Amino acid sequence: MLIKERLAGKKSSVVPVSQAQPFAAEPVGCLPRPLLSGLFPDAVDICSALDVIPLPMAFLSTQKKVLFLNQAALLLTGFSEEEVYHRPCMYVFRSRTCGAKCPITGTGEEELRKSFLTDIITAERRKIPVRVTLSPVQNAQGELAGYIETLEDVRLLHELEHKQGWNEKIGDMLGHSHGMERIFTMMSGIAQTDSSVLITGETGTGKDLLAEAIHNASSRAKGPFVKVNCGALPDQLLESELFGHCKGAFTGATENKPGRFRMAQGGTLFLTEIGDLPLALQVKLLTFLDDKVIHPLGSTKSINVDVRIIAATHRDLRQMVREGKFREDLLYRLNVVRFHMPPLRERGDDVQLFLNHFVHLFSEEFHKKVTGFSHDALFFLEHYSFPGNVRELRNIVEYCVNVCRNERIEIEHLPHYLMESGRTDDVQNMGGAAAPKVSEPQDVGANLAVKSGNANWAELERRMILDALLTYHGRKSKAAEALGWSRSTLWRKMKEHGVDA
Amino acid sequence: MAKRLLITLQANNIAPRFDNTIEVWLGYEGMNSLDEGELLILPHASAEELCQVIVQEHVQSVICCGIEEEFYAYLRWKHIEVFDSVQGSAVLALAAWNKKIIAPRMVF
Repeated sequence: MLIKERLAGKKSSVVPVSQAQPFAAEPVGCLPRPLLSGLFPDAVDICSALDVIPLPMAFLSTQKKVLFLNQAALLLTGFSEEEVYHRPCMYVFRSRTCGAKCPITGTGEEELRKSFLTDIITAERRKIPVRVTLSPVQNAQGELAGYIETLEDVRLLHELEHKQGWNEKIGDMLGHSHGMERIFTMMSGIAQTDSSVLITGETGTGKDLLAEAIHNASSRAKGPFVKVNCGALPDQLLESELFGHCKGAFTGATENKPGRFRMAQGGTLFLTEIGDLPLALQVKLLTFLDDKVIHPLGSTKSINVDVRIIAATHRDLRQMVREGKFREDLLYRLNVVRFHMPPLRERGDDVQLFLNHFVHLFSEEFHKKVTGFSHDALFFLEHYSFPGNVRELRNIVEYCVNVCRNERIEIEHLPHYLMESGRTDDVQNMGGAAAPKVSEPQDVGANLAVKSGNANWAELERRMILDALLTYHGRKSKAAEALGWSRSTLWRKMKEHGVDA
Repeated sequence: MAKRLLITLQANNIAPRFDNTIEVWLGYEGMNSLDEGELLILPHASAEELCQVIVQEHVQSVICCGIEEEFYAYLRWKHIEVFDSVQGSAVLALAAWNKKIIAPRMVF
């Protein structure tokens, strides 16, 4: 069906033909030329300075109007300086996210920096894939002054993606978000040293993969990589497991046991859930970190071991130090190099990267023809917060590929638990736009999430619409604004769900 | 016979992208406001399907903003006038079209 709805006209004012005059573009001579002083010996024209930067850059006002584009941005968009000045940025960039999905709210409450992949249409009618990085800028009083936007042409990156064997990964880790790129950049340098590494992050964020990648990138790659889960064993067994024991050290110790430290000789020992290490063993670990010696259980002799330590935890070790559950000196010794794995909800486009990766992985593994997600399913997953992070995403995709019999995964193929009560509040934005900033509209979605019970997605959306209409006494424009939709989107969805206002 | 016009909309302005449009206005030469004519809501955004709508509705002129060369060329091949990169108020653009002063890259 090409046309969903046909309506009689659109409410607007009648404009006499004589008033139809185009906006007069600013002559170049009238464009502002601010000076940058205090950096170079003499004040310099900041626009000329920005023009030499090869990365397309845009300065936007809080009302989303273009204040300045550097030369690289003008070249990319195909506009001239006078054509863009004070124009709404959506008309200059014509990005896929312009409109309902625009991340600029004008309130300064956006994330400090947001990076996402999208595409723009230039003045020459070319569609160019770009990576946009958007940052709010504050004035000296800490108030929002505007935004700086950079647009990175990723056409070359996309070409490389299609070349066989290329992927955005290091080791088995995938990631193209800003947080992961920083980790990838730091990792190769850190890997070459023997410094202890502490990896923090929520469960399922890939701490284990990072540890292994560091080992594989280091000079110890040919040595063993030994992993110990400090939370998996009882305290009494853990000491023996880590440091070994001598025959007769305790009941049942019928022979010498080398322990994981000695097994990792010349390589890396990865201590996961380091926060669960008992205090007594923390002392022994600290001794090793200071002196590179261990004392097996029941032995009077110390043994030198050449092992690099990588530790990981999802706990807040500083808090544990304050509570007396973790030694402060051990934290400082482990924290020589620290990597924090960002949760998936902070990794922007990496969600889509992972979804694509796992769909292809499991399709091949299960010999299925699934190629991707439907628009609705993808929208749902892109707005789901994945409390279990990458591990949860992988499990969800594996489930979907298993149950899907078509080429595209639909909403009904998603695991039911995603729709259950208490889970729907993980869906950050059902409306498809930035959440409105007044408290009442937010309650519409939140209340619905609590009441939703076992409703599927369509029922959920229908209830959301009814809730909004009830809240705003049938006023569709207010209800649409609260839901983050345009009026036409609300109208279309009301018709879809048979809601008669 | 009066010419038939299609304007891609986002609220009361020209939509920034042809392929992201789900709301379009259809009308005839001589209509001075968006109250007149018809408002079409599309089931989803699709440049290909919007081109089909344009052809099926016998549109002779299109006012839009960003449009890819592929779809621009298709519409031109179908002898449809395309005023692209038009920005701003849809009703002012309509008035300029009626006055025959509209051109690509105009800003209202």
